[in-house]
Amino acid sequence: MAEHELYFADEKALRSYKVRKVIRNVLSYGFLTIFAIFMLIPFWFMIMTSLKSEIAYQNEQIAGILRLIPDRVVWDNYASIFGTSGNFGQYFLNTFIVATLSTAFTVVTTVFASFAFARLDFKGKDFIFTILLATMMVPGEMMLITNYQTAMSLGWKDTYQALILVHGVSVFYIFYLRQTFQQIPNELYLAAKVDGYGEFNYLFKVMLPIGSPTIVTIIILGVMGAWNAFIWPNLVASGTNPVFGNSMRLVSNGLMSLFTSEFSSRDTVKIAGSVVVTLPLFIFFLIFRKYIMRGVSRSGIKG
Amino acid sequence: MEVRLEDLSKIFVGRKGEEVAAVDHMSFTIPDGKLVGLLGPSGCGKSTTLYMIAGLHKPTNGRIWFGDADVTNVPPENRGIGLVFHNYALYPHMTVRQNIMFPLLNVRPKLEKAEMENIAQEMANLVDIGRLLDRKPKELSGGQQQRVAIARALSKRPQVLLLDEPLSNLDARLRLQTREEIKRIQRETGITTIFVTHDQEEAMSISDEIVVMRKGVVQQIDEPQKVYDEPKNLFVAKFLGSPAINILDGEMIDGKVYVNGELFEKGFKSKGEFNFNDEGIFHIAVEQGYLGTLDQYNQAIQAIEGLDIKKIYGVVSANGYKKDLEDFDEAVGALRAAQKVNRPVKVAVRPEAFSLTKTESGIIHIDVLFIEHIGRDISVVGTVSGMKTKVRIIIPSEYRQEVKDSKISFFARRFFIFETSGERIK
Amino acid sequence: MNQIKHLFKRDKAVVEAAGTPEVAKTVDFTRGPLKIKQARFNLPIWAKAWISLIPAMIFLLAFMIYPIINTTIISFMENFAWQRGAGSFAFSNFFQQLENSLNPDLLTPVTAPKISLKNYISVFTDRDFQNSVVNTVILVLVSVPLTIGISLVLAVLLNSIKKLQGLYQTIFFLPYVTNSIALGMVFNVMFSASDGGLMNQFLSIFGLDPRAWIYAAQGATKFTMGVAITVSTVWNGLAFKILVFMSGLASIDKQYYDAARIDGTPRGRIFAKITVPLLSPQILYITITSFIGAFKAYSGIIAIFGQGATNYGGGAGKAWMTIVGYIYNFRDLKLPYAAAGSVILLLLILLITLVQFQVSKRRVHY
Repeated sequence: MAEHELYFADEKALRSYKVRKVIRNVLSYGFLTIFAIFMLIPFWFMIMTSLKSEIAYQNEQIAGILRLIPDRVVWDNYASIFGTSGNFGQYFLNTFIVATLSTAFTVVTTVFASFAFARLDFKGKDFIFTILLATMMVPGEMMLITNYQTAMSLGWKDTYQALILVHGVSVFYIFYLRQTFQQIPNELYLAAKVDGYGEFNYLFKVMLPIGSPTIVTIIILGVMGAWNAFIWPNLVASGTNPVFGNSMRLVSNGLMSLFTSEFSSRDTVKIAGSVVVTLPLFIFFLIFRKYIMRGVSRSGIKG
Repeated sequence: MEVRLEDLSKIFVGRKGEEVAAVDHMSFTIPDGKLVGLLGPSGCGKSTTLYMIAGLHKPTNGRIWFGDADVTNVPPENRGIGLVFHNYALYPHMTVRQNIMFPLLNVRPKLEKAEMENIAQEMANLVDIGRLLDRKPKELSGGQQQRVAIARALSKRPQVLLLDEPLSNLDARLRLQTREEIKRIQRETGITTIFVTHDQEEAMSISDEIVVMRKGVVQQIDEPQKVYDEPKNLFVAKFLGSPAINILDGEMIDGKVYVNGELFEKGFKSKGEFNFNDEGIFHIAVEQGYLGTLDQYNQAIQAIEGLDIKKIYGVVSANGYKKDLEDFDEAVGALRAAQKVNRPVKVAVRPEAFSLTKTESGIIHIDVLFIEHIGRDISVVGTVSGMKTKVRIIIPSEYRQEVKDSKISFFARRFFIFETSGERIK
Repeated sequence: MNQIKHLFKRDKAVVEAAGTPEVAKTVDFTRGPLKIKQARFNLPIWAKAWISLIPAMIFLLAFMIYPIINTTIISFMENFAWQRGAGSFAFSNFFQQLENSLNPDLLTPVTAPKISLKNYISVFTDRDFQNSVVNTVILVLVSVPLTIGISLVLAVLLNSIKKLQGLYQTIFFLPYVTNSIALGMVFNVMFSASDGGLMNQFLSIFGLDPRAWIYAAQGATKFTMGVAITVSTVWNGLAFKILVFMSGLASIDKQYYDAARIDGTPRGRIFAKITVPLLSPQILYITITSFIGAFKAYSGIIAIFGQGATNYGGGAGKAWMTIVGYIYNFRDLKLPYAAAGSVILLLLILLITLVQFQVSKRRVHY
C-alpha cells in the first residue's frame, strides 16, 4: 500500500490510528512468524535428530521428552549412511550424472523447438502446438506404463539412457521459452536480416543471449526435477547397470530403500538420510535463490 | 544512388480474404544524394513502401531500381541499404560498439578486427556518440540509442539509407536537435536518404523533397516549400501546415466564388478569355501544345467535359506528346477555373495568410470567440459570421490593438480554391 | 569532416546485366569496398523449422504422444496378453494376437482379444478403486482450499510488511526445494507414535494424550493418518502458491489502493473488492494447478508410510491408496486395469479443469 503523509482531524484520531496500526503489525508479524516456525520445524527436526545417537533418541521417545537440541552431537548416523551397506555415494553420483546430462539434453531440444515455434513459420505450426499444449494436461501416469514397456523392449532397463532421454523433453519448457522468444521484438530479426544474418545465426547470436535468464531458469528447474524424481527412476532403474555394474538407484529411490533396509527401525539414520538428500539442493537453493524464485514466479504468472 | 519505383503495388490479403492495396501503382524517382521524406497519415502505405525499397516486403507488382540495376528480386542484405527502425532495434545484450560492428561481421572478404573497430569508431564519431562505445543500449537515452541505430545502418557503407519514423519516439525538444543531426549526417555523407514520417513539420524542415502519400497513392512530390505554397489537392493542403489550414464552404456562381453569400473572389484570371465552348478549349489545347488533329481534339473534349485529367493525359500522351503531367494539370486547372458551372467549392486559407489591410478579394467577417497571445503572434479564433465554421487566424503581435472588437473583418491575401472532391481549381 | 565523404565515394557499381529481371543475386551494389557475403544456398524456412523441431518431436512422439494413445487403446482391450511384454505397440500386437487366436495350429491356444469396456467396468466396480477415488477426493477437498487459503493470507501479509520481507519469503519458499521422499520420511518420524514424538509433544502442550499417527499396528486410525498426510501436503504446497500470489500482488497498480483510500474504503472491503478480483488470474491458475496436482498425489503419501512403493497404510496397506496409487499398483498385476485407471484419471482432471474454467469466466478479471 502506498505510504503517504496522513493527516488527522485531531489528537484522538491520530492516537487511535497509531494504536490500530500497532495491532495490525503485531497480528501480521505474529501470524507470519507462526507459519514461518511451522515451515522451519521440519528442517530443525531433521538436523537435530540426525545428530543424536540412536540410543539417546530412543530414550527421549520413551520418556516422552523431546530435546530440541541434542545432548551430545554424534556423527554415527551419517557414517551408517555412507558406509558399506549404505550406498549413498553411488546414488549421489548417479543422480549427479543424470541431472547434468538430462538437463543438457533438455536445454538443447527445448531451445531448438521453441525457436521453431517462436520465430519460424511452417505449415501446421498452430495445430502441432495446440496438440502439445493439450498434452500438458495429461497426467504422467498415463504414459508411465507404456514408457516402461518401451524402455524394456529397447533394453534400457537400469541404464542411464532411460533416465535421461525418456523425460528429457518437456512441453512446459518449450512453452515457457517460446513465450520468452516471442517477446523479442520482430525488428531485431529484420535488422539482422538486413545485415545478412540467417535464421540460425540469429538464434545463436541474438535470441539465446537475450533469452538466457529463461534458459537459466530451465536449467535450475531441470536440475531440481532430476534430483527429486522418484516414480520413473524407481520403476526403471532400481537394479544394477548392465554395462558398468553399479547400482542405478537415484537418491530418492535410495532413500526409500532405507525404509526397508536394515535401518528401517532406526529413525535417526533414516533422518540422516533425509538430510543428506536434501542438503545439496538446499545449498543449491541458497546460491541461486534469486534466479529460482524469479523464474518460478514468472513461469506462473501467465495464467 | 538513384532509387526509382516503377508502378509499385503491394496488396495485402485481410483475414476475411479481402484485398487491401497498401501501395497502389506508385511511381517516382528519388534523386541521388538527396534527403527525401515520405509523408502521410498512418495507413497511407509509406512504411510499406520503405520496406519494399529495403527488400523486406516483396512487391505484388512493379519494380524497384537502384540506379541502372533492377533490385526487385534481390534480398535485402545484397542491396546495399541501411535501415534504421522505428524502435531502433538495438541488440540489448551487446555494447554499442558490438552493435555497430554487427553488420561488418558478414562482410566478405573478411575484415580484420582492428579494421572493424576502426570503422565503428568512425561511424560513432560521425553521429556524435564517439565516447559511448562501451555502453549497453539500456544505459543510453532515446536520442543516443537512435544515433547508434544510424551508425549501425551506415557501418557497411550503404548506397541508400532508410529511416522509419526516426523522430516519433523522441520528446519535442530532442526532435528539433535530432532532425538537424540527420540533415547534417546526410550532407556529410552524401548518401541518398529516404525517411518516413507522419509529422509534416518534420518532413518539411529537413527534406530536399517531400512525397505526400495517401491510401497508397502519391499525392504530390516536390520541394517542401513548393508543396506548401502550391498544394495540388485539398488533402495536401490540409495535411501540411501547422496550425491547420482553414477550410470554408463556398459556392462558385458564374465563375465567381462566394463565401457565406459574400463575394470572395471576383473572377479568375486566366491565360486569356475563356468561354466554355469548343473553340476556347481548342485554342488552349493547341496553345499548350497538346493537340494536333481534330480527332484527338474531339476525344479531349469529351474527356474535359467530365474533367477526367487522367483520361485526357492518356489520350494525349498516346499520341506522343510528352509534356509533364503537372503542366497538363495546370492547363486543365485553368480550364476548370474558367468553367462557368455553378457548384459548391471549398475555400482554403492558411491561418497566416490573413491580414487586416483591405485587399480586392478574400474578405471574411469573423465573430471573435477568443484571442490567444502566443508571444510573437496573436491567434484569433472565431466563426465566420452566419456560419458554424471555426476559423483560426494568426497575425503579428503588432496588431493587437486592432483586434479588440468582437466582429472583425479580415482579408485573405492568399487562398486556394478546391472542388469538393479535392482537385485544385485555383 | 570531409574525410567521411571519401568513405561513401561513388565507385561505379558492377552491374552484370542491367535492367533485366535475371539480374538477381550476383550483382554487387555497395559503393564502398564492403559487401555482405552472398548466401550460397539458403534452406527454405519450413526446412529450417523441421530441422529444429525434429529432435524434440521424436522424443515427444515416442514418450508422450504415443504412450497416451497406446494406453488408451489398451484400456479398451479385453483378454489382451499384455504380459508378454506386449504392453507397448498395443495396436499391432492386438492384431497379432487376434490372428494367432484364429490359428488352430498353434501349440498353446491363444484367446481372442476383444474391444470392450470390460476394463472400465472392472475398475469401477473394484472396491479398491472406489476407495482410492474417495481417498483422493477427500485429500483434494481438504488440502487444496486449506493450502490456497493460508497461502493467500500469507502472501497478502507478506506484501504489506516492509521489514524482513525478504527473510520471510525465503523461509516460506524453502519447502519447494525439498525432495518429496525425504520429506515424507521426516514427517514419518515427526509423527512417531511414541510419547517423545514431535507431534505428540506438541499435543502435550495442550494437555492432549499422545497417540499413534501412522502405523495401524500401533493403533493409528485412518483419521490420524489423514491428518499426517494433510499436514505434510499443506507444508509442501504453500511455497509455490505464496510465490505466485506475491508476484501477482506486486503487479497490482498501487493507484487502485490509493483511489480506494481516498474514498475511505475499509481494509476488509479493499481486500475483497480490489485485491482478490485483481488477483483472480493468479488465483485461477493456482486453483487449477493445485487441483490437478492434488489429484495426482502419490509419492508424498507412500513416503510417509514408508513401507515401500505400494503401501498406503493400514493393515492391508491400502488405507489411503489414491487413484495414482491404484494405477501404479496394477502396472504389474493387470495392465489393462492400470490403463483404464489412467484414462479415468485423465477424464477426471479434464472435467475438474473445465468446470473451473466455466466458473472462472464470470469471476476472473484480466
